[in-house]
Amino acid sequence: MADVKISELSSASALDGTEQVPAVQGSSTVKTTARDIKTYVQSEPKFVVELIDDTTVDFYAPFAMSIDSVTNIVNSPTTTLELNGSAYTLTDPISQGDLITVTVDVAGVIILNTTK
Amino acid sequence: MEYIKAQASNGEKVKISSADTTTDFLENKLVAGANINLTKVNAGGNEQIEIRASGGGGGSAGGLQTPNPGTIFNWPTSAAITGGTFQNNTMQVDEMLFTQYIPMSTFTTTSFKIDVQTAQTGLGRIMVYDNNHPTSGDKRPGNLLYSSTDLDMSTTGIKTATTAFTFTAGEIYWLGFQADCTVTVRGLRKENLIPVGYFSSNIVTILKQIGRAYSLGAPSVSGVNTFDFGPWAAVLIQP
Repeated sequence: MADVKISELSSASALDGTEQVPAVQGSSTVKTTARDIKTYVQSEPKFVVELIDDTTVDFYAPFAMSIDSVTNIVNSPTTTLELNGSAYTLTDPISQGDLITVTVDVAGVIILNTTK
Repeated sequence: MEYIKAQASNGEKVKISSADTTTDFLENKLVAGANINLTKVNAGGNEQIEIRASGGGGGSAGGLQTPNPGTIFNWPTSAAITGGTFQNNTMQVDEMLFTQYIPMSTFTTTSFKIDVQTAQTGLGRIMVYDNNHPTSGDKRPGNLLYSSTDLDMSTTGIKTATTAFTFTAGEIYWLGFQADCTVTVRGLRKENLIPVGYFSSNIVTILKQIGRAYSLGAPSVSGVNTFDFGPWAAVLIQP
């Protein structure tokens, strides 16, 4: 194919996941698919937790995962995590349906960085 | 990206004001000051916080039937009963006098006192009744809550009945005094008593029970059968 600018390509219809996309992995140019990219993005979901009106909140894990780190977005609270009522250590496995309790010492907004 | 918002916990937690940085349960937001005790009652059920004022002032607060015991103007001291322009009251043999007393704070007594001005051979007793007469609904003195030991009326001066009696804020009590002699005691003028009735253009401040022999002891339920306008045998209440 002659050289064509991306802006000159036709627009795609709705993706079905099989579409090929070029990527650079290490020092090599490789191909991947839209489905693989989707799987990768979904493997590290982030939970934005607003703790303004209250400094603690409970929620249930929607899938098996682990919480790997916490990022402060608003203010700089110290976050305490509990899993099913007991202290939680980052990266410990969490099962679907487990109760996660997030508590901060001052009002703030945080992000829970997780791995699915 | 999932978004989770901590709600105000259905009102379970509170802020003192909109500027409060920390929400918490009410029991953690209440702080007991001096002479205040906070107690959670009905734990695990319909929980409530009971706020109770203690005696205060290391037991020095009190007063001459004051509903608001405090240390102002010497109320806790015996001078409250011996000083001032009190109007003496001479008792009739065996008559029992009652006047209403409604404390505004909860406290526990160390003693009740009465001041004998003109001695007579005989005895006297100080009593406390509730306002819940078991058969009469007209708010007369009801059940006996406390009766002092016999106080000697044969010498002048302050007679002390030592007791730890707890008055509860807002409750209606009747203070009672009976003597088996015509002793004259320091009295409170009718103007200083709580009106409880009206008769023949006069304000009734005292209810009376006559015909009850002193030797029979304080009746477990009052048998009030007449009234008076005052003065009243002043009782010094000391926490």
